[in-house]
Amino acid sequence: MPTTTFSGPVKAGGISTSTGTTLSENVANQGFGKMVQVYELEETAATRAARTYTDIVIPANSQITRMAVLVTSAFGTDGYAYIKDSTMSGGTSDTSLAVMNCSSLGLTDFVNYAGIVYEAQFLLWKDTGASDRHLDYEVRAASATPDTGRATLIVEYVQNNNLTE
Amino acid sequence: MAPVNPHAETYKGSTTFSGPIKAGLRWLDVPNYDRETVPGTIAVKDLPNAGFVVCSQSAAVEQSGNDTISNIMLPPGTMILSIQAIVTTAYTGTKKDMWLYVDPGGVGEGSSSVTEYTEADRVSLAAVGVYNLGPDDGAPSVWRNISDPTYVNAAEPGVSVDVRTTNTNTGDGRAIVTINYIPEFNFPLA
Repeated sequence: MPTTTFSGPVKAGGISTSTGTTLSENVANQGFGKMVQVYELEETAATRAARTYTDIVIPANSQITRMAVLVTSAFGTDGYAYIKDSTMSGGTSDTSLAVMNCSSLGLTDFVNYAGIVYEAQFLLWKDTGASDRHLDYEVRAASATPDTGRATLIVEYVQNNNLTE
Repeated sequence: MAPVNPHAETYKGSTTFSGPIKAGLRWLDVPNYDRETVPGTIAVKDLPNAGFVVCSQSAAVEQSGNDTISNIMLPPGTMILSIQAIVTTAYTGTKKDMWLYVDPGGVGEGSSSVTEYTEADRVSLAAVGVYNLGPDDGAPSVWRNISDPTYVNAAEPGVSVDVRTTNTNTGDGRAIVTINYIPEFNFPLA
C-alpha cells in the first residue's frame, strides 16, 4: 500500500504567508488537514471487567474535533463505552473524554459526546496537552448478554495546532 | 458548459498523492510490544502516533427520482467516516428524501446502502440546511470497508466503487453531498 507519511501537521492552502490585506491575493489561507484514527471496540466479558487499551495515540497539543462510534453489532441494553486515556481514573463518566452510546446499530447522527459534564474534559478537546494520549475504554451496560457488541471508534483531530485561550 | 473555478490560478499547484496520507511524529510500531493489551511498559511518548488524513469528495445531486451516478468515486478499501448533505433547494413531494448506495456489481437499486434504505428512516430534507446522513442501520458494516464482499454486494478488493443516488419521488430538491473517508484503509471486518 503506497502510504505517504509525514511528521506533520499537514497544511494546505494557496497562500502560506500574509503579505497584504487583499483576500485571494496575499492573505494567508492555509488550513490543517484533519486527521483520524480508528479502533474497534469490543463488548466481551473481558472488556466489561477491565479497561481495555486501543492502539490510538493522539499527538500532544492536538485539538479533538469529533469522536463517534459506528456500531456494527449492538451492545447490550443501555450499552455505553467510556473513552478515557491512561492518565484518567476508571469508573465514572466524569473522568472520560467521551461517553459513546453503543446500544443501537448504525445511529443516524452518531456523534456522541453529550456525557461530558466537566470543564476539564472540554478543555482536553481544545488542547490534548503537552503529552501524547493513549486511549482506552470501559464497557458498561445494563444487560451483560450476549456480549457480542462491536463498534468502531472514530477519533478526528487537528494535529498539534496548540490552541490557546 | 462546466463551471469555471475562479480560484483555479491560485490553486493550480495542487499536490496529489496516491495516498493514503498519514502524519505523526512516530509511525513505526514498537517491535514485540502489544500496545492494546500491555499498556504501561513503554512510555506513551514512545508509541506511534500517526493518524490518517481525512479525505472528502463532494457532488451536486438532484431530486430526480432516478438511479443516478453521483460523480463520487471511492478508492478500494475505503472506510466512510461521515456523510453530509448541504440542501440548497428544499426537497418537495410526498417523500423529501435521498438514498445513497454503492453498486459495484451494476445491479442497480438492489445494491448496498450507505445511507438509510428504509423510507421511513430517511432524513427529511424539507428545508435548506446542512444534514448529517448516517449509515443504514441494516448494513452499517458497509461504512467500514466498501470493498468487502461479505457486506457489499459484488464488491471486488482493489476496485474503486461509485456512489449512486435516488429518491422516492421526483421534486425540486438540490443538494451537495460530501463523503468524508479514509482511502484504502482496508479495515478488516469482524
